[in-house]
Amino acid sequence: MIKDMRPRIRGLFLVSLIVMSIFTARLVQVQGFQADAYAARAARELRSSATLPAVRGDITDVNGVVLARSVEAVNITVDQTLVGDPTAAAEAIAPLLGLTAPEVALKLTGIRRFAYVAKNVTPQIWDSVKSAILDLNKTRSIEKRVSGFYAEKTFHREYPAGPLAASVLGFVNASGHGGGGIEYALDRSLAGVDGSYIFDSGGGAAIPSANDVLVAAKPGRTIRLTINRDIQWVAQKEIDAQVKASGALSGTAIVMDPQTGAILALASAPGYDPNDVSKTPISLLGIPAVDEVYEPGSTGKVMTLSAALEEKVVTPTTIFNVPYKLKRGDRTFHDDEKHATWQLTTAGILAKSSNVGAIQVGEKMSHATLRNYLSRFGIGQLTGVGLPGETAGLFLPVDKWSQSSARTFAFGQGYSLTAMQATSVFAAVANDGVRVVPTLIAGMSDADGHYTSSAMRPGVRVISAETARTMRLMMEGVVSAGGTAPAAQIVGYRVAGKTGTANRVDNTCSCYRGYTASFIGFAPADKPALVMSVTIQDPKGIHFGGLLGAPIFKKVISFALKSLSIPPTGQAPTPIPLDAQQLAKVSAVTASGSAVKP
Amino acid sequence: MALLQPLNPSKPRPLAKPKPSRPSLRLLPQLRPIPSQPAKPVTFAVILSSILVLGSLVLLLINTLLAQDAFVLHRLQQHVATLTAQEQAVTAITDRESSPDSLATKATLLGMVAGETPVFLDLNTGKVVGAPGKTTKNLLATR
Repeated sequence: MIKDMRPRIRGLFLVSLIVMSIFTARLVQVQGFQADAYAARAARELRSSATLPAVRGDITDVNGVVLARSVEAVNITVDQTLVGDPTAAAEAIAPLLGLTAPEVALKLTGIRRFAYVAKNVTPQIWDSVKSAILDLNKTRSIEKRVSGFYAEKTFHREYPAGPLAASVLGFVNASGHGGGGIEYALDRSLAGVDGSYIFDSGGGAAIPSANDVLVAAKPGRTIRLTINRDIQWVAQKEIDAQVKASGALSGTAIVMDPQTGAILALASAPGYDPNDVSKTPISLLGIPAVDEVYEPGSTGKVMTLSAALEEKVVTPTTIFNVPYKLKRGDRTFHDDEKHATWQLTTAGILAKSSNVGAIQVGEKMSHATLRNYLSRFGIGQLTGVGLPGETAGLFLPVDKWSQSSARTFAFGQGYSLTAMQATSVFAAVANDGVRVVPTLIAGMSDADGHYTSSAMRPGVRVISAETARTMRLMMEGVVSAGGTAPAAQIVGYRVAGKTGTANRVDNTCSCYRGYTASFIGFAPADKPALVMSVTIQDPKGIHFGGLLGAPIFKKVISFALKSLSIPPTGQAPTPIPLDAQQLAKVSAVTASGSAVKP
Repeated sequence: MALLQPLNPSKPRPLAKPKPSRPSLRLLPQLRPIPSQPAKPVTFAVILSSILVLGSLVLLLINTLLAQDAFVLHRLQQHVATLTAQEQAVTAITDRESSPDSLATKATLLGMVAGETPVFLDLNTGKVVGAPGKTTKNLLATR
């Protein structure tokens, strides 16, 4: 018996040996040689990853009032093949989404596996949609149940103040990045860094505590603007009303602190609501204060006269014979309104805003000197305010000047600037002759709340403090009863400024058509704390800066002085005589009284 | 002198150490195995299965605790989401109510008017700084 079984046992042993060898070989092949490939394949099948979107930083005003914030939102999506009964589903959820049932039904019907039902709804609305579907399904048999609704978590950019400061803030485009204004300029700081979550999953669900890697999203930084929401509101409201009332094309108001360059308000009209950019025409999405150029007109005389005073070619009381008309080369220049020949002082030329007078003052300097001063005031250069789309304006070099250039430059025509540049010019006079870089950014804070304020950029001295003081005194004459802008007076305060009523270049015909009415001023005149410019483009009817711009200046600056608690200085001005008559009177008084220089 | 000297007989070469005597083999007193009871197969099975059951129970407990934590976590996360949504909704209302537009409208409805010229009261001297005057119209609420 035993003898008979031996060959069988041997045979079986051999067979199992062969089988085991094959297994071993395969094992070595799989585990030893192909291990990496299989591990990678397993990982590929198991590994899932998700993007954790970073929250975009807030934009606040100078006091921390939120002007732009990101809130959690849900995009409701649908798999149209799973809905089952689009009509019933649409009727159930349409009222929750603020849409009509047919509108929603259209989005639910079809064979698309992915379609949007509603974008940027609040999480509460998504919750109510979910429970509405649940309620709907309660009364239905399993095969007739409605499903296929999903939520896509996202962030929605919200501008609580609506159109207020829209042109400064800009907006966020569909891809979640800034499309204009500060949102665009500081997109990298605001956006933050998206995080990621890599995890093992099986059957569509994450396997808990399997080797997952979580890289937290880095929230964007919060930007604190120099804008004061309340002053911005008054400025916006007033410029809106004036643009509407005067039938103007557009208008801009800028309030600036001349010492720091901080912009407290920047309002443009017509504006738009950044909460709903899709309905805004693209022409309104710019920032007129920095991307719209115009010829300044009489506000430019401030630079001519500052240059002449600084160069000591005139004094505030130098007498000029100012006729209505003046012929120079092939061109005749004249003042706005007809008048007999005036005997004006330099201060009088500014107060009366005489073009002929400004030409006479300008002719006391070389072309290069005049251009050099304009250049130092920032003409032809970007202000550095940091808003997108800023333009430097047109400012030709002396060798490209025409015969009349020097004359037109003297009274503010023939070159162009932006409202921001114009405001900066006046801020330099207000800040004792030092022009500082206008700024909108007070500082930034990171996700941990560490606040870093913006570094102050060095200013440029344009004219001496003495010249600046004289100019301010002369500009008080503009706001006096004898000047062009008595409407800018604020009772109890000393106010200085200059009106501008310039011929406007119409780009459609490349000719002069219509006007640019402006008023730029500051208060208190003897210790300027606020500079404000008001620019109205192409008003119909009345087009004088003293009538259109000055009243807005008065309202906005009165409010700003109150809200910033800037009291009057209490110093009485010593008016500079505006014409020969006044000068004679003052001279008589001083001659009989103390020995004060004329 | 004799060339050959006899070896010093007084110094004999040391002899090899005598080998230690081996203990002689002898019979131990008879060893008798302690009579032991062989483990009953039932007890062994009980012990093993109770370890198994206990282990399973502990595992279940741990799992339950973990799952419970997950449930708590999920509930709390939902709570946070609800509260965040609520906070955002309330913030939106606060923003709307505290906006300058809404305040100006409400102030006007209350019959309030905005002052025209800024006037200050110096608390140190008790003097009024500025030029106080009567406000005739509402500056801010007119559109």
